[in-house]
Amino acid sequence: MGKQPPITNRVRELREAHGQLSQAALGEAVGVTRHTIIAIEQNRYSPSLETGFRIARVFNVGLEDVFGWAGD
Amino acid sequence: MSFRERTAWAMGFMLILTGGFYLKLVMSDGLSPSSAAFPFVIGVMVFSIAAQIVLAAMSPREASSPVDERERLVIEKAANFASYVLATGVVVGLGIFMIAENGMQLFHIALISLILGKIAEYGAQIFLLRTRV
Repeated sequence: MGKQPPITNRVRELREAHGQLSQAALGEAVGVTRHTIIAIEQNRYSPSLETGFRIARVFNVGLEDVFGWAGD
Repeated sequence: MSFRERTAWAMGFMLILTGGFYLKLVMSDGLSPSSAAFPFVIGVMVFSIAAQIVLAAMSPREASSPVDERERLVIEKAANFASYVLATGVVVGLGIFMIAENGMQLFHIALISLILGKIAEYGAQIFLLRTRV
């Protein structure tokens, strides 16, 4: 709620780069619902560290290739 | 709309309807707590079971999957918000009881606070599922 979170992500970009992996398929791969993946992509939810690592592993990249810090 | 949000809408509407029915029984028909609460509880049980069956039939996969981390956070935050609504109602009821010393009135206020608390909980779930958690 309220102001934008300082954590940014490239989930949508990586998903599209990986053969148009669907939100549902990514959600299933990391153990969350499609709606949570949508919320992450829209920056309405910052996932737990565990889910962050799981997402990075799906794309075979490091955590910081998926998530960034836009705060001070 | 996710399964959790549809469930929250259904349960919220069900409580508004059954809560309104309870208020009608108490205020218009002047029934005692036991006479008014019994049809209310039966109504809540029947509507809840029917709503859950219909919603599960509409999306069986989502219905059988466990809540994920975001949904769990939403449920916890909504329950926390609802606890304040319930506590406020109970404190108001106790305050009125200290003045009026009417046990029947206290029962009604406590039950209505419980209903309002649950409605607030489902409303908060819908809000949090649609906005940033």
